[in-house]
Amino acid sequence: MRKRVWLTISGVTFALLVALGGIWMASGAQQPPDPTIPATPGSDTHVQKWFKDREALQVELNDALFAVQELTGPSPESTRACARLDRVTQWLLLTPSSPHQPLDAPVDAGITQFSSAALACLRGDFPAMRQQIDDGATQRGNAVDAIDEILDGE
Amino acid sequence: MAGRSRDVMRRWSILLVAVPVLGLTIVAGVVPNAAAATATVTPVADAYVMADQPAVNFGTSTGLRVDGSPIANAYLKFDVQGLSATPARATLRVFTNTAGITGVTVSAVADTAWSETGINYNNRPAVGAQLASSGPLTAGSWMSFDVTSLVRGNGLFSFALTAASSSSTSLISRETINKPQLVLDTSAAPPPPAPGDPVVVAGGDVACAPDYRGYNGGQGSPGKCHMKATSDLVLGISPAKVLELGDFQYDDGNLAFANASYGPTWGRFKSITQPAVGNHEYGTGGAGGYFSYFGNAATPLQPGCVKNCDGWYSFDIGSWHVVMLNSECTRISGGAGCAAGSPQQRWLDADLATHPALCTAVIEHRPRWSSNSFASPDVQPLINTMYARKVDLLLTGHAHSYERFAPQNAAGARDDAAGIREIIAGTGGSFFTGFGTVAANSEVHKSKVFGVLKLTLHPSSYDWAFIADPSTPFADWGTGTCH
Repeated sequence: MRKRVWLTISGVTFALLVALGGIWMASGAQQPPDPTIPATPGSDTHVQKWFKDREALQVELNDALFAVQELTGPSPESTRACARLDRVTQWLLLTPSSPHQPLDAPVDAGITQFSSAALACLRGDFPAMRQQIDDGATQRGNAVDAIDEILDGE
Repeated sequence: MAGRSRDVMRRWSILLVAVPVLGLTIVAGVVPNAAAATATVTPVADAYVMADQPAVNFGTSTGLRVDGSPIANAYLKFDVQGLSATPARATLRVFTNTAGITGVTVSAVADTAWSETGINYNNRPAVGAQLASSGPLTAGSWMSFDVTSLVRGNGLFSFALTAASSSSTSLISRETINKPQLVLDTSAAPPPPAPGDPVVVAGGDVACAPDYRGYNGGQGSPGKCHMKATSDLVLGISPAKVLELGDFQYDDGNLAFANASYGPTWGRFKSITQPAVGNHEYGTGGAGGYFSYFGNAATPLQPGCVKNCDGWYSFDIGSWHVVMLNSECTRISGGAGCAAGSPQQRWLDADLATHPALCTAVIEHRPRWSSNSFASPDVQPLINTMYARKVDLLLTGHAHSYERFAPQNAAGARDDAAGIREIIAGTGGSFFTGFGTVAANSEVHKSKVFGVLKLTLHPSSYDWAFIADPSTPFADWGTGTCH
């Protein structure tokens, strides 16, 4: 009886391993690299997944940023908008670093300033908020080249 | 009467199928299947060569060996005759006796003069462009390779099978059963464009800087700076419009380089070009080189603007409405240039609302979906608007490769009824980038290819055809329906 149980467990375990192996293989993770195209971060599967995992936060940051840029003064609506920007910047600052370390600085460019802008906004200091947003947007805009160049392997 | 009528019709049907099948068999020496949709050709020669026995010929062996170390390559040669049209698809099939993780790669071999009993490692023909890879091997099964890009008609075709793995792979040769096959799908050659409907050409990521090491006087070098070759393709197509998908001039879109490199190549079509601004254009302050070069063609909503212009506009061609967007979202409108409620997003929504054409295309440089890290989430609010307004086609560049997606909704789920089909054609000539994990709903992806996307814009549908630079053979075509 005990032998039958062990055989069953072994069989199920083997089947699971085969199935998991099949899924892993089918996922494309084992595609051999093309030797005629230099391996760049842009085609690195880990970098690709890292960016993919950040997508929702990035979209939310853009929308929250735009909503704050439209504010004209303290109001319940502005408190909501600034809390939204604060939330998303905190989440972004907590995300894991990238699998390719040189990407970290340009990808995070501006986020600290946006976070400070959110806090200034929540304090009701709109001039400081606008200054921080401008600074952050400039830093983020300037960092785009660096991200693109790193992904292209330049 | 009804029964006799059916019998007559059945006989005619048999005759109509049998005559071309028989004709193809007699004339071509290929074996068509019952429906005459495919024809199967077997090799006229095959052999393998081994680096550690460089003078030995293995042409009459019943097996073909492929190995990465010591190197063993297999060679196959097919003689295709009797085709009256370009095959829709050509598939090389080889039977393997061996299992393996890393698989086998098929490459083109330009030299077709080698002989089965004369070839050895010392005199082996050079291995050319890679065509396809098998993925992991299963012992006792057929491997299939898409070789459509090479087999475009009648003639001799040579292939090399190579492997990177140091584990030897044993394949079946033509000397026994399960011999290699070249299966030609003759059922669906690309349709000729209907007369009268406009043809446009799209391509991005185009011209190298003249100081680039692969520039070679504007003629380019292998894998680099093929803007002259791709522009010659445009010339041959003679389109009504050229849709430039961004990054027209490397590295920084400056005007002097544009006049020297883009100008003599794609600039030949400047008068019919509708450009989209790319990231490299912003290497010159405010994309000043780009806006100066294209002038009001790039800024019809801001005539005379030459720097920091919006970069979005639209136009009509035939019965289509076409929208050009600026996907450099973090560089415009205070860094949130594509956000929900941003000027560009609101303009897009209003433009699409006031142009309710059945068929609509949007062009922007950065793709929303791509099988690498070049996909841009920043443009998501624009995608939301496109999907809500029933956009049919999204053409992009940025990834220096070709990729075609099935129609998708704004969240990237397949939606054949109302989805947006994205096609990336960053293949205008500059240089290659590769792929990572293949994205969901990616139907075709091809790296290491230069060429242009030809679109025929019908009143309620569109035909696409990728026209490749001859140095990077590849083909993709099809038809989509507007919604």
